[in-house]
Amino acid sequence: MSTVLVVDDDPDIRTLIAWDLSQAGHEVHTACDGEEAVEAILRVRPDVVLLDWMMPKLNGLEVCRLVRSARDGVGIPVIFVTAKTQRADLIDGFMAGADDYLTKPFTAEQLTERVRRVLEAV
Amino acid sequence: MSDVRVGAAAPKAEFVAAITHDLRAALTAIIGSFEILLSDRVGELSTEQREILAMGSRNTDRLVEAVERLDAGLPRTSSSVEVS
Repeated sequence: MSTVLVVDDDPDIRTLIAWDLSQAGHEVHTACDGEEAVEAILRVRPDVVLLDWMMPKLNGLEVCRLVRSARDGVGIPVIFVTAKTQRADLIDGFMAGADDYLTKPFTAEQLTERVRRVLEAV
Repeated sequence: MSDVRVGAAAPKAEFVAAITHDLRAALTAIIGSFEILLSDRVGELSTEQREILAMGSRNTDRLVEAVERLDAGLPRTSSSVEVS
């Protein structure tokens, strides 16, 4: 069983992602903004982080950069799960250190497959 | 005159981008909810309940297509990206 941290400021989306991944057998933790995400990443040490982009306090891009610059966070896979679909956004996400980029809306199958693939690559 | 049109295009593109962003977020929750109900994992549905939910799901797909058309109509730097 893998530990997944779901970061999204939308409570409905947090609930849905957590439900899907719990059904797939993962242990799921959640955070509702960027600051809470950084704290949770350092405390939980998840196997993968699902990270929204547009969030209060710290946005997902800032969180990803912080994680990548922290000695303990370098190896933690990050998947952006975002409604930002512009080509420039995708590039910014990968430049910030993301391992994958999933755009909203998505299906449960797409979500669990992306998580599986990233975990396999670790 | 053309400068005025160019000047007005940028705020419009930003508006469309903001709207499609919010629509995508809301559609994620709606699609996910339909998926969970249709999967029977939270209780078995009757045939009639399944047909009603399937109707909602089909029309959600139509909304997703509409959002993608909106995104595709944005300037080049704002085009939708398919990530496989």
